[in-house]
Amino acid sequence: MSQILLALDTATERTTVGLARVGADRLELIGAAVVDAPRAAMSRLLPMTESLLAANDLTVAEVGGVIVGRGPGSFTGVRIGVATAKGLAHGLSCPLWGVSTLDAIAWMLAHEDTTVAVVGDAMRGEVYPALFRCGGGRAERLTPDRVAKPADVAAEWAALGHPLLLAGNGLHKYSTLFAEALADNAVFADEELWPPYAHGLFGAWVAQLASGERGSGEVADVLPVYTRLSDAEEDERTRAGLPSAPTPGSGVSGGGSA
Amino acid sequence: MPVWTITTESDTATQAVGHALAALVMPGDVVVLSGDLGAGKTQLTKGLAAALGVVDSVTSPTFNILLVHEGRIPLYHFDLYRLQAAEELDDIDYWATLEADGVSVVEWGDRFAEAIPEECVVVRIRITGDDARVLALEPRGIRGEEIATLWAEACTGIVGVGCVPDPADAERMPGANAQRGSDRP
Repeated sequence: MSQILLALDTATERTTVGLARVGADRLELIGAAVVDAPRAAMSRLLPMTESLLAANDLTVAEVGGVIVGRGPGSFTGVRIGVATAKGLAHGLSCPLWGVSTLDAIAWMLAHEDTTVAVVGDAMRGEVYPALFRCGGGRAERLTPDRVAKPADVAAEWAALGHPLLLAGNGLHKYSTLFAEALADNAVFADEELWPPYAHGLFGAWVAQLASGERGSGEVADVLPVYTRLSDAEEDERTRAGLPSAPTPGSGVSGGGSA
Repeated sequence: MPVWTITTESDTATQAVGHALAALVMPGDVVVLSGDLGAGKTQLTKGLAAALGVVDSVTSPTFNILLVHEGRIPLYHFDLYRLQAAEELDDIDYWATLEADGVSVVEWGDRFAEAIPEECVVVRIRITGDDARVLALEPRGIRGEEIATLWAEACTGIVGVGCVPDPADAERMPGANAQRGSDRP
């Protein structure tokens, strides 16, 4: 593969793209762009990618690998990002890898020596919570993907009894709730670092390689992480005697490896 | 149990009820409309749209499923009639749109229990005569109650529109006393 990697994420309102060059022992970020495009990722993603390539005197044909944030996040956002990434990788006959959008957010805080708590907005009054042990330029995931009520998550995290560095787009709606529940243990990351950035996507990808969860690079093997029923909804279905709900859409990887 | 019952005696009056809603809606507010064909769901939406400053014409988005109108704030006009299953709500980015920067009106929103958000006003429209309609406002959640109360207040005094609090619910509604019996057309 060529030495240029393209990363993109549209799982949140923030459409993000980035380019990196594969060096001898590290990735060098050569350019990144973000735009707040709520429900407009479809129209912004490819033009942004094209401009970013042009600004770095590159063409899309020079891209040798694609990394996509596969959620969890907005259903349509995740679908647009993963579908676009698959289209690009397929057309370029280059490898495609998926990383968690929540991991990408945590990796932006990898230099903070603390526990990072990412709150992704799941909409419908729910969030995607995930905890990470950060420090020394690394972010190690402590909890799997799930959907939960913000108040339950806040209570759970308050019970941990230690400071948490909070990030994630769910905080736009629930920062007050977490601030009240966690009191002095709530430390908020700079609001600019709540959404994912290319730098974080690359960081999460490098860590994935190092951990041996490299993935095949096959386009078909990268699955989106769509919203799925929360525990409460599952319980309700069980009570109503309904079968466990199928995860919506065309194939979902819920927990699983990133 | 509806908290407010609004009666209208013409399409114009139904539009006026929609008109009255425009001043008090905020981004993220949702109004779910139910009622038979011809009940006036689109009339209500037309009134709301006009008062939001929407210039293009408003028709029922039966085939489009969602039509977006630019006004003071965006108006997201859904018609869920053609959806087959609640899972398809994700396909149309339903939740992200509802929680975005505009007010959403959802026709046939009661087709799927999942489509009715925790905070909203459900309006059930019944045909009671050639042109006469009864609109039952059923608020959901705190914001829903707030909208319904303000909306009902805004409807008082409109020609051709009657507005009464539902007796069973009147006592717990703040401001209900001010409304009672004062607003028959």
